[in-house]
Amino acid sequence: MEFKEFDRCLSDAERLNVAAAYDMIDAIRRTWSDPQTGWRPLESLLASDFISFTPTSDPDRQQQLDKRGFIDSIRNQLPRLKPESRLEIVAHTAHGNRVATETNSEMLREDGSALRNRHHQLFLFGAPGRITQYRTYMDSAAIVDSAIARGEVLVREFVTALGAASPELERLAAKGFEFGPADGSAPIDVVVLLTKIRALRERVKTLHLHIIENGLIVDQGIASVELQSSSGSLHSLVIYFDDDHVTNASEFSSGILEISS
Amino acid sequence: MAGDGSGARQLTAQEHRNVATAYEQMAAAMAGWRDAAEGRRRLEAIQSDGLVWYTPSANPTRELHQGREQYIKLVTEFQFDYYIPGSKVEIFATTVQGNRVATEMISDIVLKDGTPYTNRYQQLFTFSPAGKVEVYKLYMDTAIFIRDDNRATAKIADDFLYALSTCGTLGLSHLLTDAATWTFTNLGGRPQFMNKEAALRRVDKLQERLTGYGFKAMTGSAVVNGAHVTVRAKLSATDTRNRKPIETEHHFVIRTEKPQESSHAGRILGGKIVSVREYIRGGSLPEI
Repeated sequence: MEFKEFDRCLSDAERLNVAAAYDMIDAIRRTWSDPQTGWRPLESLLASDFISFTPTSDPDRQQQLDKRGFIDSIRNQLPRLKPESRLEIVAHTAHGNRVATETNSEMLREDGSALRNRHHQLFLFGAPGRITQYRTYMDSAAIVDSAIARGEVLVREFVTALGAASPELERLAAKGFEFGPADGSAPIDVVVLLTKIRALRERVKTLHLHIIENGLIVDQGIASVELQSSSGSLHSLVIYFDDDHVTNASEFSSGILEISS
Repeated sequence: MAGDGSGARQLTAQEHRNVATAYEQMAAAMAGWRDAAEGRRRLEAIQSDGLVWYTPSANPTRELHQGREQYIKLVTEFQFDYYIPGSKVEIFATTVQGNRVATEMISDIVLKDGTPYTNRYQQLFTFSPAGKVEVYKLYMDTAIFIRDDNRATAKIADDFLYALSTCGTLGLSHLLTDAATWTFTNLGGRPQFMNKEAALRRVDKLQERLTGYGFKAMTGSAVVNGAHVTVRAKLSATDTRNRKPIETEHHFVIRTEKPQESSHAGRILGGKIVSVREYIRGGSLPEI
């Protein structure tokens, strides 16, 4: 990296630390376009006792990654981002074994969604240039917002595929997906659900499901959906989902599979 | 102070002064929680007239740039009103270079309604040549506010189920606005639309007819978004007319007058319930 006038005061050790911080971000970025080797500099940049975490007072989100876990998370996640994604340090503050960096990110996913964030990271060093801790302070609400927005898209696609008896339903359903009918009878898998919906569409040629006004309420991993079918019935579903798939759907009151023409 | 000394340069007098000023800003804020005039005096002494402060975010509704007067009012009015004695913020580490000081800080605060608020921050102070705070950026775990706001909204669902399960309807009436509506769709049936009075009458009759008319919320079933909260709950009751057991699962979709709101320093609770939509699975309730 190129040091500026602002960095004139830094000691040799501090310059090594600043350069290492930029190199780590650079390695993360390179992995997006070169998933095979882009991450390799991390092996020497991160000390053997390295840990990474996002400081939070919420115990549900407290987790630490060690060196192996962190490198694996970079190697496994980043091929799902487009190479045009951005991660850029815009300013740093360095003294002794600490480097604080302000970083802007724009993660563009293969599914077309984007997550933009602002970070204030802290790098701690043992030997100069070897990172022992990496703490990421950021607008964590942006991640929640993004997860909910993606969940909403997923649920809408699921409802559309359900109403259309589309083979998309199999792609959207997770392995082990279960649909719980309103009458409380045994849950059915996506193949049986698709078969039954197709049979329904043969009987009810104008089958159409649409989400009523304010009928879609999405939280992290779970959504409540209220639908009206072309028969005028009101249907309610509670849908569970992960990043990419619907894992479970339970229906209430009016059974979609009981719709008559 | 920051650094283990390994290869650390000597800080300049200006850098030492900036670190001390960063600490003083937070000390002045805490003083302002107890004594508004003292807080104002101390903050005005160290903050530039043109101070800009904000929580960095790519979401423009979250990154609101505000000035010195707004910071002072936050401390000496809002936080003064809401924080109990003993509430604190504490800087535990700093990183300084030139006119920049990055501080790691924790907060341990309790609001006057008893709600704890804690957070983790890495602030960034940028100083003028004269040593006044020109820019103050508050990077923090903003998802905490979502968690806390959702908890407050989900409490409405808890209160609702509790009131529904008390063998009386006054508690439920208190939670609903006068113009509240209630829609119930029985298994395989059409929706019944009711105003508040009709809904309470229905509940009253169900309580009379069914022994054990009480709802148990299903763990982790609350869905919260803005002014909406939905919750699933189980009912185990007996119809006294025919001694038949009723084991049903209900899905309540509740809308409140307004969503829970939070600021940097606290939260304002949403209002009463405007509408309830009730769905059922696994069985039916007697038609009332």
